Amino acid sequence: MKPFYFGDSSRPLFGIHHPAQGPRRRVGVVICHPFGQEYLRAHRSLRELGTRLAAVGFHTLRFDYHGCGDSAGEGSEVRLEEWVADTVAAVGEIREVAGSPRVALAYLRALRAAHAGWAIEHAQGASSLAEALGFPLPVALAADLAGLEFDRLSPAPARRVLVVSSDVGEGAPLLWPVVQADMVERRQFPPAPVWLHAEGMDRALVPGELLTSITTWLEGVCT
Amino acid sequence: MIEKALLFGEAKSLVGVITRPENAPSSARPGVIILNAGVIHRVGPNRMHVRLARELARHGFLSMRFDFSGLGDSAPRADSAAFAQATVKETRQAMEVLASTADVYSFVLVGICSGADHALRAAGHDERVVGAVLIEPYSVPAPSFLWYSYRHKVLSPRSWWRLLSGRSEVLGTIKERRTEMRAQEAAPPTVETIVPEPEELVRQVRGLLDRGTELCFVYSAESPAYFNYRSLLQRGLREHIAAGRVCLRVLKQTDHVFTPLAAQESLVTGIRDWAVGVAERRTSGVRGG
Repeated sequence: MKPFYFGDSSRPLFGIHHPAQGPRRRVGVVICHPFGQEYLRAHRSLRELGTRLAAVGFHTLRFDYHGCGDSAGEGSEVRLEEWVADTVAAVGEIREVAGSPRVALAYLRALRAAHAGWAIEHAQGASSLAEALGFPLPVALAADLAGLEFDRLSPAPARRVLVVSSDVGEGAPLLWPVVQADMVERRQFPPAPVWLHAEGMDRALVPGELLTSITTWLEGVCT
Repeated sequence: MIEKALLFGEAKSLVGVITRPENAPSSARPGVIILNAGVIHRVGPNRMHVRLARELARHGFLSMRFDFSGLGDSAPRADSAAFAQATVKETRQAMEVLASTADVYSFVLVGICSGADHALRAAGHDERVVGAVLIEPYSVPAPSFLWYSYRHKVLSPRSWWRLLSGRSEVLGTIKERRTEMRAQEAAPPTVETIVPEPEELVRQVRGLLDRGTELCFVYSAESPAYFNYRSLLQRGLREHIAAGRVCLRVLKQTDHVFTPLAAQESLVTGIRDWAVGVAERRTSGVRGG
């Protein structure tokens, strides 16, 4: 595992590269860390996901968006457009390392429609900056998130998509409704305390079954 | 301000980030080591460690935040040493890294919650530590704390109604505390534990002050940690506070991890000002003046 900074030197991004172990696959994986409290609570799980993916042959890069984690910038100044550019930069890095143009992306919540609704609700009434559980939430970012229209994403964001959710009923299944059904696989797991509840902050818990599910799915589709 | 990520430690398995000022740091400025708070990785609660490191760099301080083995991005250890002992060793390794990076000969340790516990212990093991910022340290579950924490509810009819109707969390809390205390009595520590006995805490603090190390205690006004300070340390530290060797900051309207952004700002600027004061006093040869 190698920590490093990459991207534009005026706004460097922090990343951790998990080198592929054993027989290497010609697909790189980029894990996009979430932001705010979810980033703190999910960190250990995403580290574990990176380790597991590397163990089955994927060069994997985890990275922090601008204004998040160890990357440059303040949380009060972030915009969604920048984070998209950051993701493109991370994809460029892993392509170079993996020696292949093929890349898989893994996200946690940050771009979910449900999250967007939550953000704009919290930003209501604030002039430029709201607070969200200990983190700055720029009104502009909340508006960016609210403006996302997942149901207009066509064609599909990738040839194959796995949506993992702990929502009961609505939520993640509403994403990508126009994407052809055979390209989207949805898996549901019971809510894991590691994500949301107080006990998840007291212990370095990871949702092992869920991480195994993601790893085996990627192994299956990225041959 | 320039940041560099690195691996260090005997197995090169500890992940750290060094934040350095734009210009070469002055050797008069102590290097700052920022330790993990609980199981939160090196960016700290609400990313405060990052903000603190960058604010300190703007004032000429070189700093490093890192993950202890088994936390954050750092790999678990292969040995069987107690965690408390490993944190001392790894903190000192981080000091070595900073010392080899620039002309840094003295250090300030910063820690929130268990990070403060680790900072206090590591400071006691290394005389290069000239200052420590102990934020919300040691929370000893003393029985009197229960009275302290529920003092506002005693006069509340709603609280009494919840207690009598069996919906209060008080009974469960008392039960949990009893179970914890019994477990501790049944298995007395045989190695250095993470949370020392109250007498040991007082001894550690006095030892550092006798050595000339400056301490900055930061608390949330309503926290168990501040209750500990008032019940265990306050009386013995009055003279040190008056002499400027101990700084006490109590922040109101916040919580254990300083969730409100305004509290975070107070915390960061308060530590910065205290660190600048430590550096200036060392330059002028006046300790805690």
